[in-house]
Amino acid sequence: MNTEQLGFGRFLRGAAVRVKGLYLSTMAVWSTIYGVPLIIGALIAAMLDHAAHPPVTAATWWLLGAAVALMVLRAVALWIGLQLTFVLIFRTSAWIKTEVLGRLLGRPTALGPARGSGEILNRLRDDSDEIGGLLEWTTDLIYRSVLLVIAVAVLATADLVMTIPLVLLAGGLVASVMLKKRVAATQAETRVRQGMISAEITDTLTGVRDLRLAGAMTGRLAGLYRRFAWRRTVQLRHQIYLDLLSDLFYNLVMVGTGVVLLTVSLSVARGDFSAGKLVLFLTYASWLGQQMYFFGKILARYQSGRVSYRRLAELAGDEPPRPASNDVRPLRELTVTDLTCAAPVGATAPRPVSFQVRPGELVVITGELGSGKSLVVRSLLGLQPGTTGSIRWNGAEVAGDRSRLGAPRVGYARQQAKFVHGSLLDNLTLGSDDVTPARVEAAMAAVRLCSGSEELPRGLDTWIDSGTAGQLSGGQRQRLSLARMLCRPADLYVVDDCDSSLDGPTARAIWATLPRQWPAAWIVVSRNEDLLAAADVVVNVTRATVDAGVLSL
Amino acid sequence: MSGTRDSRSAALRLLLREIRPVTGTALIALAVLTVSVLATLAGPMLVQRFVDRATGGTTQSVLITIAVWYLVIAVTGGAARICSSYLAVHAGWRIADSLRMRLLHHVAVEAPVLEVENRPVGQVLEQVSGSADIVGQAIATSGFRMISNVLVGAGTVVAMSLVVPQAGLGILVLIVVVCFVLTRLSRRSRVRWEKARGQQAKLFGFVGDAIGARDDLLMLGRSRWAADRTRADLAALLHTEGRAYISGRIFWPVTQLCTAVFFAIGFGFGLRELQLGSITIGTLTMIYLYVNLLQGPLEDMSSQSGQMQQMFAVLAIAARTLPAETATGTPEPPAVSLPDGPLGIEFDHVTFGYGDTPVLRDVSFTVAPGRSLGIVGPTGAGKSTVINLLCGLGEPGQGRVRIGGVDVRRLPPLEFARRVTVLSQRAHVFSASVYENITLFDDSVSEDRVWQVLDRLNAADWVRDLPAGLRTRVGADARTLSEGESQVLVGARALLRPYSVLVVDEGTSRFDAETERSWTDLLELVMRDRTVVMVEHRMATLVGVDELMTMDGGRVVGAK
Repeated sequence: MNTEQLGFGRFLRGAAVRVKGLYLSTMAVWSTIYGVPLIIGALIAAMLDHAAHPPVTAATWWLLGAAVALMVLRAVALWIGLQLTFVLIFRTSAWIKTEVLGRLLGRPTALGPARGSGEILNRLRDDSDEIGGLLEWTTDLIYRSVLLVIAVAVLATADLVMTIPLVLLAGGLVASVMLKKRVAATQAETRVRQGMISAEITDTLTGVRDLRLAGAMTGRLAGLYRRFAWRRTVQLRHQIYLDLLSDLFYNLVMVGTGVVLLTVSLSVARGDFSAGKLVLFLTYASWLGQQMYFFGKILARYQSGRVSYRRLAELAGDEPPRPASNDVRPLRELTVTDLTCAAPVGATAPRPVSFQVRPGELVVITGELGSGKSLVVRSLLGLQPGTTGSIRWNGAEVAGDRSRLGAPRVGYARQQAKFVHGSLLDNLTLGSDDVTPARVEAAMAAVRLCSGSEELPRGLDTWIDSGTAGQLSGGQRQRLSLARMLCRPADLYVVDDCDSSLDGPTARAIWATLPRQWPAAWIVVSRNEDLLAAADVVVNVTRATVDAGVLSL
Repeated sequence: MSGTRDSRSAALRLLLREIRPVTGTALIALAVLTVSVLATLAGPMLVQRFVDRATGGTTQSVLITIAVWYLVIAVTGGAARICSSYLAVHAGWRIADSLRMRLLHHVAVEAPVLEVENRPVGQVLEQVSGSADIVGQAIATSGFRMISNVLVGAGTVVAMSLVVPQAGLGILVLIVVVCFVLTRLSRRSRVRWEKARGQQAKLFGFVGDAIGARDDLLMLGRSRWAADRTRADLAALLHTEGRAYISGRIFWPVTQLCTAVFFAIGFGFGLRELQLGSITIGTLTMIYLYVNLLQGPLEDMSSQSGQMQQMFAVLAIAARTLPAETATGTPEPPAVSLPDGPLGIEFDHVTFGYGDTPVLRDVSFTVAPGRSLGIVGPTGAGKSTVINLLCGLGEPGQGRVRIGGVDVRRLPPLEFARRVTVLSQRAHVFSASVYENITLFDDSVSEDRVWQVLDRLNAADWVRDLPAGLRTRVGADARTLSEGESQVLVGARALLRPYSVLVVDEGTSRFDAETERSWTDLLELVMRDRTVVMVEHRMATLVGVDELMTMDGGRVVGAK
């Protein structure tokens, strides 16, 4: 717990140093904004003391003028301060978002956080904003502490006896420490429930067709509505603790004023009552209360920030992703020996697999339903945890090394590939300048997706609305995924089930030309008879069940 | 200009509709709030009395009594504040969840399926949940407090007018002017917030896609690109959102400027009256405290009105999405029900296209009740569109699609679900238990029924082998299923329901030889007395159909 706190503190410091100039100017401007009222208070107090003995002199009017001018100055400072604050918060949270996203995307799904996309999105959005906001508040922490000392010094100089009871205001900090713990606990719980609900909504929306056509949507939504109420209970508690915390200090201001009045009435016998001094104390007491309110809030906010930090750290993982390794030689031979996959909980792992493949050769991985064919290729590519066995690239061991077993040497088209919002061309190039129009055209032709054909009238401009590319047919998606892989040269192409939704002639046409046009080593998961016939090596994946007859699927 | 007014009134109407169920709580919250406001306003008056007595020379006990009274009122006000904030939060989140339900209901039940499927899920989630959260947050933390601030402001002006009428009047005039300026500013800010939120939704749509496709991007070596593109999009958002933020918070400096003028007015008139001897130094102190009192609420109101503007921006978008209240709206179309027994299917010169891209051209066919039709054709021939239209998911450009003689677009969804079952390649595996995935969250289906269906699918052993049997969680955040295993769930889902029409959409493409055989047997069994439309790539599974139709390029090219 303690080391984690240290980690978060260090992280915040690092984030502040990153935008040092901005951070310091924000601090300077806001110091002015909160320091000016102290001077104004002193000016007003002096003015009242002048006014208490009529006639009203020019000095009184000058004091009033000075106070008003300072207020105008404060308004200008505020305008600047708000701009700085926004930029500071936004820059910080944007930086966190991209850092976490970069690291999240650098790991395969199976090795990353076991969270749905909705939940991950939620965290990226809310938690980074939370930390950005907190960092901005830390600027306040520093200058407000300084101003606090100055304010107390001014009061003590004016009247030490009357200053002492104001220490009571600090007593509120004790209560705040207890409240802030509750705030942190309820916030964590709120976020957990929020994430679960987001995941469920995402899931429901993804399956909207099935639920609607089966008339099951109403029932599903009723379940979700119950979850909303379930979240609301903890949300309510969270907000109340937050309000208690903030009101605690607001109320301390009122009580503080009461205490000032009491102290004055007790010392009135000393005969030195002045309206000016009373106003000075009242002004400063409420200013102090405001600061206490702030300190309490930042304590609570710090707790929330730590929760957010922990949640984001889970997404980011421990180590930054390794960049693709440059020292991988062109493939001469890939040897897989006793590759053993770790099965997901409760399932049986496939039997160990061994094979060898050279450029120009085709290995087809086949097997019954649920035998773990996909698991085998995913494990081969280092996308699955708990893989054992040996994978040698030209004789050198590369098992589990994603920096070598990936682009630019290896191309992969997976089962149920996903895409991004954008044109078909965007989805092929993925922002890469290396993918030339000629290459795109060759890849599209190889998978028989012809621009301007009946099935693809808008060709490369066809718009893909979402990651699932719902408006494309299953076969089109499979071929698009293949084409996306072919747009990038590689020594080894690994294809997981990209022909199951294709009609016979199309599949045949693709497989008749592909390996020859793209002279690389190919590993393809398929149950296509033509492909099996053309294979140099056929690897049959079976489950390592004791009694092979149990599973009749 | 009238456009923004319309959208604002639509947003307001939506808000009022959402508030209705929590009116009671809201009223009590307001009553308690009034108590805390009165306590706040009483403070400066007590101080005035205190100063006047202290300067006039009085006994200590009188001063102590005033100070004690001050404390009592302070504590009462504080208690009332907390109490009203509890009620406000309660009401706020109730309203937010009710809006969330309405938005979700709209997307999940009312919006066209094809439209929902084609939007990034991240974007939809942002619009449903993100919007509701903003509304909840705004009401819970800003809405009621803003009312309290308005009351404090009004009370201050009244109290000032009683002692120095000119100052009270001057401040009142200034407040009116400022309010006018602020409303103009707020309108501008709302438009900017709408724009910023649109851009945000787009950005998170892409991020959601990238997260979903992270295995693809990783292996293609393009993970960095997705992160970089997000960074660039965020940099563009900085500008848009910054403008929106500043125009929302501009209130704060503006009100600060006002406070300066309030001071000048209050003290200018106050000092003159003091010189004339018509007020005391105590009253002048009171004026100071009141002007101070005005400053706090005005400052708060800047951030609160920012939040409220964001809320109205969100509500305006929501009001545009949501249909007008149906209670008093158009009368429900008369319920159409299908005749009992097997139903016929008819495509009557159907034409369909996306935009100006034709997908189906003059497609006509009929399937007699109890008969079966197989549709084959190369990828992209328009087979999936036939399925979509048959399921009533799209409106034909020309022609009609009828089931049992009734236009499918007029069929109530429940009636459709009762009589038609769809077996689709696109079926989704929910993050839920195997049981829930098969029953589609209908708890009234007994486990025995589910086992029976699994037995018929030859998949009972597979489920029995799972760690928690039927209660094993599957889907995105739990155990991922192979495509074949998913198809078993989908098959079971379909078999569980009584139906007259079976629509098979490439349903068996991924079964292995043995399962495909048993599936064919099963189809033969369930096809008896039922009308079947099957879309397939492979002829093998189409052996049992009565008729066969070939499609290509959106046309029927052959039938036998």
